[in-house]
Amino acid sequence: MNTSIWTDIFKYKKHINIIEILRDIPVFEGLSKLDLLKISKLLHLRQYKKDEFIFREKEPGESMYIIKSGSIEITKCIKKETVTLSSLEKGSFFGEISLVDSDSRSATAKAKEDTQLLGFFRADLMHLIDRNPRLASFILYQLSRVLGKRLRVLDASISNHHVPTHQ
Amino acid sequence: MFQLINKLSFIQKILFYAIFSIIAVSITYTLRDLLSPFLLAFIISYLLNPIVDRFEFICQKRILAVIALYGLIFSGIIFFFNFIIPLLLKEFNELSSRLPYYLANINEWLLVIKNRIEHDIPLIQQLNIIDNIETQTQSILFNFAQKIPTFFFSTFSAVSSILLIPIILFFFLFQGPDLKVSFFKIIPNKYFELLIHLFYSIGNKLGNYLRGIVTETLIIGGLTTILLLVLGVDYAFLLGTIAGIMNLIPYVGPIFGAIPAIIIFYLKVKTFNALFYITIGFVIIQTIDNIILKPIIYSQSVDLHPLAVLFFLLLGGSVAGIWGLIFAVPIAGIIKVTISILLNEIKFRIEFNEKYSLESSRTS
Repeated sequence: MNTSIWTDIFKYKKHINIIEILRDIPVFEGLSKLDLLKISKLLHLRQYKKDEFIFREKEPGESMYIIKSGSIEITKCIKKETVTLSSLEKGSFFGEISLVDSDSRSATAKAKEDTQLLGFFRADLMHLIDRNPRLASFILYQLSRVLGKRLRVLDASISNHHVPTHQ
Repeated sequence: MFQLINKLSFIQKILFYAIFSIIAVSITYTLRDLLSPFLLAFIISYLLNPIVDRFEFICQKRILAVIALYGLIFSGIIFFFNFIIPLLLKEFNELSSRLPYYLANINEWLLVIKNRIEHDIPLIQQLNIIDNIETQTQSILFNFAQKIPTFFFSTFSAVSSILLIPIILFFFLFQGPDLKVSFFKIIPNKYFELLIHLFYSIGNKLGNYLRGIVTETLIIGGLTTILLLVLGVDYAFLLGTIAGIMNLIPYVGPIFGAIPAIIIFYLKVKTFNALFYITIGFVIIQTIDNIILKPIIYSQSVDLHPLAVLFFLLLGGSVAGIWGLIFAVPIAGIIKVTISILLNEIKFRIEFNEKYSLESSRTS
């Protein structure tokens, strides 16, 4: 526990560090420093040990995570085999689908080493719609852009694999 | 600290948590008077948070939003103490001075009913049931009448609370989001998402419910007061307030709220026509409540079966009296949300553990 409930003195400095990371996340792209500061106050900083699960497949998902330091591994159980989908480094983000729907997680995330993550919760995003609609709608727009990009990549990979047989 | 706990065996862990929770509960119990302003401030902050959020949207800065809200609240309180409270106290004093007259009348009615029943069924006279009922109702009525002022003022009697609550509330409102984030730091990773989900779901339901019933109480109290003023009933403001508060208790509350007004009105005019008008008035107000207000409030907060609501009401009433009746429904709602979320999670964890142990046995 290096952060205590009672000390507020270095709070601003801590947020500046987080802002540097947030700036490069596509979901928060193009936001001003002040907006990023507001976002950083909503984030939950979590520490994970090596091999600790962040979330597991089919678990109810509530938040997106940003890697502050360390790295994580995304795996998925396909036909009873555990397949590694990708491994993510500092500055990457994952679990962003949970920001828009409450369905279960589509893959498992595990820490590859001691890792610090920033959690951004759907409930906080929904709450932000009331508090700061401009900021919230901008984030939702960026989020849908990210998801749209994913869809295009997926489309491309499907059409590469699957050649239609009928004319 | 957490590493130390992780090294313990399962039974040791259970023992540790049991002792820890016993200590925590006993400390909370000994300090309950000290904690009550914090608890009250916490509840009020729940009620006011959405308003602060809206203000923050206008003012852009949270501190300005909180200050603006405080300005509004304090002007409201000044208005309340200058106009509403003296009116209520005046009516209350008048009513308590005339209480023996009303009770004597009620007694008379009871006597008439008693004589009629005893005349029709002579057997009852020997059993003395009616006398018992009479003495019982009398003591209940007297007790109830004496308890009304203490019920209103006991919770807010401590001067220190009145001074402390605004200060604590200020910090809860201003730093609410930051405090929440700090609080969640102590939750272990394993339960982190689950507990935040639980916290938000409960908070949403409870907040919606509390805000809903406050609005409902104000509207019902206001409508009843207008009705009583139009009909020319004495103590309209006091009886309207009582009807509004009683309305918090589902199903039975409105009847308890209406009875005093109907009795007092009947004793004033003594015609059955008037009785008819006031009853119709109450029925119309209840219809508005049940068709327009209640669906909006309950649909967003607690969806419980009416039988479950009734059961929790009886339970709450027998455990904690009037407060139990008022808080039975929201607490039942919280329990329902908690159970449904936890069940989901437990189901997932059991499935996952089965799969995981299957996999590890296959690889080994």
